[in-house]
Amino acid sequence: MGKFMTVFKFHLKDGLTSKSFIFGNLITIVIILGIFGFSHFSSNGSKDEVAFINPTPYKTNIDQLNKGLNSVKLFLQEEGDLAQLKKQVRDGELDGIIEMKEKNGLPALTYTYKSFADQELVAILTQKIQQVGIHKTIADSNVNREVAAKLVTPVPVENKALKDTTGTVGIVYIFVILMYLLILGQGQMIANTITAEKASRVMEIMIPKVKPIYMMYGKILVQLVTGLVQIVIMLLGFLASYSLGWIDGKQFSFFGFDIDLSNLTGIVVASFIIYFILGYLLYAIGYAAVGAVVSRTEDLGSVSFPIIMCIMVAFFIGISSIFNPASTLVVVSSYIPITSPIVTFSRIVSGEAGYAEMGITIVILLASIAIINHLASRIYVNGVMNYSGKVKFKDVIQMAQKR
Amino acid sequence: MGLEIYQLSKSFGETKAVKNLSFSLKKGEVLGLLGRNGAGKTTAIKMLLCLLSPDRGEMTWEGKRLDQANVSIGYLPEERGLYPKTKIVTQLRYFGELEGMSRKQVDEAIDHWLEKLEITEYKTKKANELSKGNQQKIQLIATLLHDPELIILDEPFSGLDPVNANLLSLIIEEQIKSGKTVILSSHRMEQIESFCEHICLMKKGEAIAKGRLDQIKQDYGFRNLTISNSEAVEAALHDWKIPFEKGQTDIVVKVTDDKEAIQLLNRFEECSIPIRNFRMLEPTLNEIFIEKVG
Repeated sequence: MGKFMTVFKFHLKDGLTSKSFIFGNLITIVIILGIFGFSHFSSNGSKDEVAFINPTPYKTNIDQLNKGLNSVKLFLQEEGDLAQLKKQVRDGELDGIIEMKEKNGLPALTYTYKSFADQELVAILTQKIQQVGIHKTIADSNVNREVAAKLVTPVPVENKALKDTTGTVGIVYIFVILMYLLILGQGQMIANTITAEKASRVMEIMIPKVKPIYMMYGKILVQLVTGLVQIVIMLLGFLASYSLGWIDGKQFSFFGFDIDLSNLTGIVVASFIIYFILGYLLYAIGYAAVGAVVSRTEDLGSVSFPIIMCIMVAFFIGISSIFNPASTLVVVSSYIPITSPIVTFSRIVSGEAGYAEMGITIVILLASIAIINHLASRIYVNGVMNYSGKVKFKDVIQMAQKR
Repeated sequence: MGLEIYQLSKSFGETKAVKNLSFSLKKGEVLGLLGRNGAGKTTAIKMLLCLLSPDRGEMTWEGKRLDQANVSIGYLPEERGLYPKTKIVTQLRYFGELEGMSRKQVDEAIDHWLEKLEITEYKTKKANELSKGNQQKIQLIATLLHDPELIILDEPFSGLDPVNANLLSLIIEEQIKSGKTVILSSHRMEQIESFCEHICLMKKGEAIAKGRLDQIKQDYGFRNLTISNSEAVEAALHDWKIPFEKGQTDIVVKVTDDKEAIQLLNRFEECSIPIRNFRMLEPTLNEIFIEKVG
């Protein structure tokens, strides 16, 4: 245990004080603050400006129209300015022009923009101007006020979701990406450090001093700790943005996915940590074995390809589980070890996986880790002193069989 | 008892790297492991270090299985084995602590060795900032830091300039004098001859000569009769069709024993060829090496 702790402390210090770790985390903090800061400042007073021209008899209230628009600010303009306004749109000085016309006794809109239409503007204006048209038609037709009121009253739709998961989508999305990136990144780091030790022949110095298995677990645990430190640093960046008021807890979204922070419960955080650690161990042990069988870092890519493929599959099924957490593929995948950590976590957050499923998947993962550990530790011990050129699959099998 | 190696064998696929290698070395003795490139020396060393597991055979130290639990080993590999981006002091501390040294002990030992090897200024440098020779010195410190009982040096002089090679020779001598058991693998025969009482000469994985160096020289079958060079001596040897090697001042004739040497000297006398000076010399290790494995 003493030697294991010496190995662990050495690699931990090496990892936490390395330039790549320090600069990587500084960049992460800057990116997090940058994204939220930009989002905050760009959303305050920098709405797209669109000119609104209405020479028709249909009465519109520009302030009422602006109330429903989040990204656009409409302002009234005279019809005579149209040519000048179009030039401004072309030059990028103005974001668009809405011209209101009358066609066949109904209001019509012409939207002029440079390259991309604002879909929110189109949807809201269409709905509101239609209402204006209906009101005028009713007034012109001398329809009874009460009847008119009934005619323009929209059909009430009451949403009654038995399991409301809309607020969890963004959380799952963030955590699935985080889990994927950390497992992939830390796993690659493990393989790289092992191969680098072999390439620099430090391994020959180390093996007479310490059991190879201690070195393997030392590195795996160090990368787990550095991975968790990275999560904490990301969280600090998030909290800093929140305390600066750059994040609105009620209207927070991530790449278009709404995030309701009230869904970030203890069980979500706990299950993320549990499944991240289990998934990490499963893949990290595999990466350690892969790092041990090659002698040069440039050979690592081809040998680690099967592991990367497994993580990619888990990631894509994890992403699909966000939108359809009860599909057969997702349910089956939550019991398959390579996909289980990401997929089961996604199902837990969306409320599809209960305690029984959690228990079963954790047992499956622990059993898989034990099996992988048994094989990988043999591959590691027999592989670290293998300096032959190209490693074939049958060589790896032999290493796994050899005691 | 010391080190006992019995019937050690190792194959890589069809290639037999080491075949039935056996030798024993008492505590405090020095063994020179010799052989051409690919003779199996490094494979044998790696088995001694438990870096490779033998297919067959036994290795013991003081009657117990040879492993890190039963003997403290210092190993200087042929290729440098340092963490390139880690400070020298950090990695030396790491190596020392893995050998069971306390932080205080290891720090004292680091300072002692850095001073001895005249490289104190590199203590806080990274390994990749050092020259090849200085990296070799750091490697030597890592080998000796924990005061090991068994020292295995694989090509210790490679990459060193004459001044540093001399410094290393002095340190090896010091270790030998302090009673350490040393296995030295080198292609520099003069170094082996000066340090080692015992040798093991390997060819294609097998030990073709092993034992005490003086005994091996005696058993070699030839001795060098060295005669002062003269035109008359040279002409006579030509006439008698006796092969010889001509140096600047001497002529060397290989003879099987003293009797053959006396016969040759008598022949010179009978022919009235004056001999100013002559000596009987043991064969050099270099000659034995070339004869046996060349």
